[in-house]
Amino acid sequence: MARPIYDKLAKMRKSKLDSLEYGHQQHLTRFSNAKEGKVSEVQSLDKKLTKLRKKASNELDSSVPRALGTAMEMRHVQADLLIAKSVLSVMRSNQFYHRLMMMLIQDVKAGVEYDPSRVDNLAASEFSELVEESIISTNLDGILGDLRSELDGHLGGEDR
Amino acid sequence: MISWFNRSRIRSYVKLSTRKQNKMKQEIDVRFAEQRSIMDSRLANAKDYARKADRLQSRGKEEKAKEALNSFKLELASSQPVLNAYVSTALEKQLLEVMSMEGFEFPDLLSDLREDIDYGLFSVNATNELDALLSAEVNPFEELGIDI
Repeated sequence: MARPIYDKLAKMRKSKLDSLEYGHQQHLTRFSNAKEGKVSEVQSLDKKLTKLRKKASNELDSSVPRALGTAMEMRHVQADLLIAKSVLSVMRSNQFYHRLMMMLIQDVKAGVEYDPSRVDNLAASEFSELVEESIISTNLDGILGDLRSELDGHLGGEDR
Repeated sequence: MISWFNRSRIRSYVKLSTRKQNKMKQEIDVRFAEQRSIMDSRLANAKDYARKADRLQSRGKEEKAKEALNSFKLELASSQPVLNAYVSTALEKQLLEVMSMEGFEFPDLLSDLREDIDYGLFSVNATNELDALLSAEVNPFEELGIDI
């Protein structure tokens, strides 16, 4: 993707490159700020989910029904977390695109030859988290496995 | 290929006039608020049943506690379709907000560069696939091994 863009940029006048760079800088700032807000939301939901997990775990010792109520809440928080992480990935890709464009424009202006490895490295570091681990990687194993066993005993199996 | 970004409804959004974009956003906002309200109400009901079961159980009223637990299970099962619809609407709502930002580019622009970027729920194909994924990922019933 980057090579054709680089070639196109290389044919532009400096004033045009300056104007393009300024535009991408503005967009980069906009998406960086939006991304920060979304990261805070993800962190807050993560924290909430951890708290609920701990609460359900404690409740398991004294009351299975109460733990079930908490598990129900966990389900909603987890759905919100999946949504937030998915939206975050779109924001991050836009942030990356504008960062990449700025880098290419600055390279052209500085007379730096196109180097695909630089672009690859930039992409790899920016998206490493989104490549190495799936967004849809969280599940309710563990605590809910315990809850299941408890509930099996509680309902005597007849309602399943 | 990132499924959500190939939907004609999503693709055409960026080409709409501001007035039409706002209208579309307003429609989604209303739908989102309704679904959220139904979901919250079902969560509150389910938690009430869970608390009731706990109370009855602690008083030794096992049969009544079991009934309350069954009501809880029904509440939980009936909330699954609402949760699925809510997630779909929330994704679209938040995506439209991002798409309204100046400088937005569809992420498939980067697919030549990296094909393995994870776009989470946006990569899930059709509505029924999203339903299946959510049922598996965020449904404690499945994890609890209870088939209602």
